[in-house]
Amino acid sequence: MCEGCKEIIIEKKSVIRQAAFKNRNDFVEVNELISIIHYKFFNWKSKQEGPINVNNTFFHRIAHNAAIDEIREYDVSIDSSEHDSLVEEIHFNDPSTFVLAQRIMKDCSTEEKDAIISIANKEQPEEFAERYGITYSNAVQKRRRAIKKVRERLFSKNMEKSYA
Amino acid sequence: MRKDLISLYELQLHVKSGGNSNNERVRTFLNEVFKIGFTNNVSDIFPMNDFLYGDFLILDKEFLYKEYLDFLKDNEEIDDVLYYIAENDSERFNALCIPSVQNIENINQIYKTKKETEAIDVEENFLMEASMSYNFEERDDNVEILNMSTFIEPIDYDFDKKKGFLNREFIRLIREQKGKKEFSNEYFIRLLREKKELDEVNYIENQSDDVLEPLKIIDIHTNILDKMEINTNDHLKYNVYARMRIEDYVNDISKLRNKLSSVFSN
Repeated sequence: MCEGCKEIIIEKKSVIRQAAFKNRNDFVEVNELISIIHYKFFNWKSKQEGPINVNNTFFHRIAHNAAIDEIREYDVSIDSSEHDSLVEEIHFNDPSTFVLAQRIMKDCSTEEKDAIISIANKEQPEEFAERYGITYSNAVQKRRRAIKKVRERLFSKNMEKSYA
Repeated sequence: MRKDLISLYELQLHVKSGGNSNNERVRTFLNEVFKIGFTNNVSDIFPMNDFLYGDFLILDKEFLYKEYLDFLKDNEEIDDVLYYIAENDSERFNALCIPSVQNIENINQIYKTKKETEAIDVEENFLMEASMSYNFEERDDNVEILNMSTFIEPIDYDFDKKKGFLNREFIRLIREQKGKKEFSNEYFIRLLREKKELDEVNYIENQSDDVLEPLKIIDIHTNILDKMEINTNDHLKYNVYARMRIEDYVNDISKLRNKLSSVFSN
């Protein structure tokens, strides 16, 4: 595997999942989107020289573009079995928790999903604000409203009984 | 705010009627109380003519919290700040509350009701007068020496205990004697001034053995101003309903993280 890939992917695991979860749609499944994010990342990285630094927005942008711009078959084969196993590690593997997350955010917009997962992943509001080009206080407001929207579902015991 | 805006009776009536008293002045009053920690300090509102913050605090919290949530709907920027504290600064905010009001219930212990305050006043007056008469007996022996050494005209020490210790003659006496080192009664004057004239909250802070770190206070309020662009003050910790809201948000965030973080991190 090329140098640094594993460290970056493992560090950004929750971000990649977040980006894929919020951008998945009827045409691109979440794990497929995760594979595409990796494919694009590995491709991009192989062309870089010297040390690289990727922020969260980078993965969100890839996922966004992959989900809306390129509805076509991707050849996501990556020339390394280690890369493949890394991608497999990032895929959602537990259907019950995945469905629970889906259920909690069932009627949320892409931005609201992003806000909720951002809170869950302890991402700083600054990064969320940067992603949407808004002020810090606006980011906090969006996060507050998003959590308010799903609050009742969080505390509903039926939710877990039925879907977990 | 006018100290006679509402009476305790009107406030109680509003609470007991579940907000159906249609008293606009009560709503105005509540809006001001809810802004404690933002545009208001406790002392900007209390004491009212016939009740104190302590009297307000013992009213039905559940109902008033609902009123507070309604207030927040019209004041989202305040709600945003409370959420900001819950998500990003709750530890530091709790640290600020620790010396005197670690738990919300502690606020009730600090802010006494009018009845409790009057009972304390009676007790303290009694102690003060007792102490005064003791000091006078002691000092009378040294009056001659003091006057000789400082070449001050002899002062008429004809203190009438029946008039109480804050009668005009006695105040004059205190002023004349102020420079003298052994005049311990000044302590009582200071105590009285604190109780009657200084901000109620400053008085409470003075009673506490723990000393707040001013930098910490400035830090959190500066941060809030810097990031949320809203002024807050140290009395936010005395705003029961703001703290209830922060606690609610802390619970919500914690619940969310419990349920979802593993989905995305494991």
